[in-house]
Amino acid sequence: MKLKRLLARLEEFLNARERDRRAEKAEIRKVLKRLKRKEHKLRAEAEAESDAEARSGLESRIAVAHAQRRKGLAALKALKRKD
Amino acid sequence: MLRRIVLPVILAVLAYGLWISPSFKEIAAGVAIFLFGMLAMEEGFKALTGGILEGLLARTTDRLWKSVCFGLVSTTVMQSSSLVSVVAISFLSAGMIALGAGVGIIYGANLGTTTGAWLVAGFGLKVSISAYAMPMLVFGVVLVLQRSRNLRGIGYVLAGLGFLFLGIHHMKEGFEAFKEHVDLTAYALPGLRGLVVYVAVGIVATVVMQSSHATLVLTIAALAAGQLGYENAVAVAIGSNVGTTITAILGSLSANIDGKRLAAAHLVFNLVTGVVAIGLIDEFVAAVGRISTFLGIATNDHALQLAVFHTLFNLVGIVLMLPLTGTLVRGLERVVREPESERARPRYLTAAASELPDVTVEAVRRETMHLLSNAFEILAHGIGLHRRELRSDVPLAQIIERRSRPPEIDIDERYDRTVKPLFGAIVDFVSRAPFGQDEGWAAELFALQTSCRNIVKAVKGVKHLNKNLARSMNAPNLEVRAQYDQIRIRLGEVLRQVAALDEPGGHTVTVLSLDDAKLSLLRLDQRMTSELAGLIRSNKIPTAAVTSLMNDARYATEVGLELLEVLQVLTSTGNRRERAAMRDVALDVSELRDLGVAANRGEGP
Repeated sequence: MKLKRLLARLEEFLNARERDRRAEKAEIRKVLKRLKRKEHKLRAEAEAESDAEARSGLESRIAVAHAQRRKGLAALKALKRKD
Repeated sequence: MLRRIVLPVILAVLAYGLWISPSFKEIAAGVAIFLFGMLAMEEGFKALTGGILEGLLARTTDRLWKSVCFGLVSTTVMQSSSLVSVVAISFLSAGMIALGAGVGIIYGANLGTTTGAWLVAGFGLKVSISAYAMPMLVFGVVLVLQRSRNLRGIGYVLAGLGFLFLGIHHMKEGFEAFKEHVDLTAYALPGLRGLVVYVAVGIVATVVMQSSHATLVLTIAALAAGQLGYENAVAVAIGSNVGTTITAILGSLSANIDGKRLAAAHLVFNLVTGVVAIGLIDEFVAAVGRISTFLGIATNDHALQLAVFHTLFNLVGIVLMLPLTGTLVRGLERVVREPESERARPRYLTAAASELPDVTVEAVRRETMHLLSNAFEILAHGIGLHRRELRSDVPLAQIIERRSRPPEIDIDERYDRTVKPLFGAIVDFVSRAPFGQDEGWAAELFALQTSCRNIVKAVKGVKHLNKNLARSMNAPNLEVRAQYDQIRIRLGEVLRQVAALDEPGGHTVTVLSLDDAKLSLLRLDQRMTSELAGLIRSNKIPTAAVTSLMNDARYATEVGLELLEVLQVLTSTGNRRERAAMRDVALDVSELRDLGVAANRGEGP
C-alpha cells in the first residue's frame, strides 16, 4: 500500500513536470508567432523606407528579431528532446 | 536646512577663534592634523590589505588574549594608549580586524599605558612621541611616492603616524598656557567629595590635554613635591583613564560604524573600570599597600604607589571585562547602529511575503525596482545630469550643450547609505525563500537577484566614469569633449528608459525590443572605437586621452547593457511561464555581439 502511494505520488510529480514543459512550449510558440509577425512587418517597412539611415535601423531590428526567433526555436527543440 | 546652517556656523566660529587666540589656533591645527593623520593611516591600511599586515594582524589578533597582548606591547612601545586605540579604530574601519579583536587591543592598551606611570615614577623617563613625527613624515612621504602598493601603504601609515604625533604635539603645545591654570596643589579635598571632584579633574585635564600620560606626569610631579594628597592623586588617575577615551572618540569621527563601536567599547571599558575603582577605592588602596610592601616600595614613595594603583585597577578592569567581551560586542552591535535612511529600508520584504511563491517573487521584483530607484540618483548625478533633466522631454544633446553645473554627489557615501543595505536585504531574503529549490520559481528569483547585481555593477561602473566625465565637461580639446558628450548622451538615453519605469504606463517597450537597444549600444561602442582611431591618425586627440576614452566608453557600454538587462527583467509581465519564455528567447550580450559583427561583415538574416 505504501509503495503504491509512493508510486502514485511519483507519477503525479512526473506529470506535473510534463505539464509545466507543455505549458512552457506553448508560451514559446506564442512568442515565436509574435516575433514572426514582427519580423514580416519590419521587412515590409524596410522595403518601403527610402531613407538609408532609417532603413539601416530597421534592418538592425530585423536581425535582432530573427536571432530571437532562432534562439526560441532552439529552446523549443531542446524542450521537445526532453519529452 | 539645519545641515546647511551648521557648517557655515562651525566655519565662522573656527575662523573667529583662529583670529583672536594663537593657542586656539595651535589646538585647532593639532586636531586637524591629527584627523588628517587618521585618514592617511586608514588609506595606508587599506593599501596593505591582503599583504603582510593582514597576515601579521591575523596571527596576532585571532584570540582575545593575543589581541590584549598586542595592545599591551604596542602601547608599551609607543607609550600612548590613545595612539594605539586610534590605530585599532583604523584597522577596524579598513575591515582588517573584527570588533572583538579591537576590544582586546583596547584592554591591552589600557594596561600598556600604565607602564608610562612606572617609567615616570620609577626612572623619571618619558618617551616623547613628537620627536618621531618629522622622520616619520619624511620617510612616509618618500614611500608614498613609490610605485609598489605595499611600499605606498607603509608610506601612508608612516605619514599618518607622523601626522598623529604632530597633531598631538600641537594640541599639547596649545594647552601649555592652559596647563598652568590646572594647579592641582591648590585644591586638596578629603573624603568622597575629594574623590568625585578629583576624578572630574582628571577627566577634564585629560580631555583638555589629550593625554592621560600628561595628566599622570602632572599628578606624579605634584605627589612627589608633596603638594597633592595620595588619595586625590589616585582619583585623578581614575579620571585620566576615563578622559583618555576622548582621543578615540575624536578618532572615530572619521571612522566607519565599527570604528565608532570600538570607541564606544573603549568608553564603556574605562567607565566600568573607573566606577569599580571608585566603589572599591579603600580595598584598592589597601591592596596597593600590600603589593608595594611585597615589591619593596617605601611607604612614603607615593609616586611609585600610584603606578602600582594605576596598573592594579586597569588589570582588575580587564579581569572583570574579559568574560563579558562577547556580550559587550553584541550589545554594541545592537545599540550603535548605522543611521539607516528610510530609503535604504526594504519596503516589501516582509515575513508574510515569503509564504507564497508568487507573492515572494512580486515582493522581490518591487524591492528590485526600489533598489533601481535608489541607484537612479547616483547613476544620473554620476554622469552629471539632474533627474529632472532626464525626466524632461528636452533632447539630451541640448541639455549637455548647456554645460550647466553638474549635481554634486559622493558616490561611495550614497552607495553605502542607499544601495548596499537594500541589496544586502534582498540577497538575504532571496536566500531564505523556502521554495528556492523549486526550478521555476528559483529561476525567477535568480533573474531578479542577477538584476540587483547588475544595478550594483552599474553604480560601480558609473563611479569609474564619474571623474573623467566631470573633468571632460570643460576639457580644452573639443574632440575629447565631444566624445565624452556622446558617452553621456548614450547613458542618458538608457537612464530615460529607466526613469520611464516609475511613471504609470510610461514603459511602452516590450521586453524583447530592449534587445534592439542593447544592440544599438554595442554598435555605438564599435563606431566610437573606429572614430577614435581616425582621430589618432589625424593627430586631433592626444594618445593619453584616447586610452581613457576607450576605457570609459567600455564602462559606459557595460553600464548601459546592465541597466537594459535589468529593465528586461523588471518589465517582464504576464505569468511565470510567459516570463520564462521571454527569458528563453531574449538575446544575451555575446549573442548580440555576434550579431553586431555579422552586420559589420554585411551578413544579414
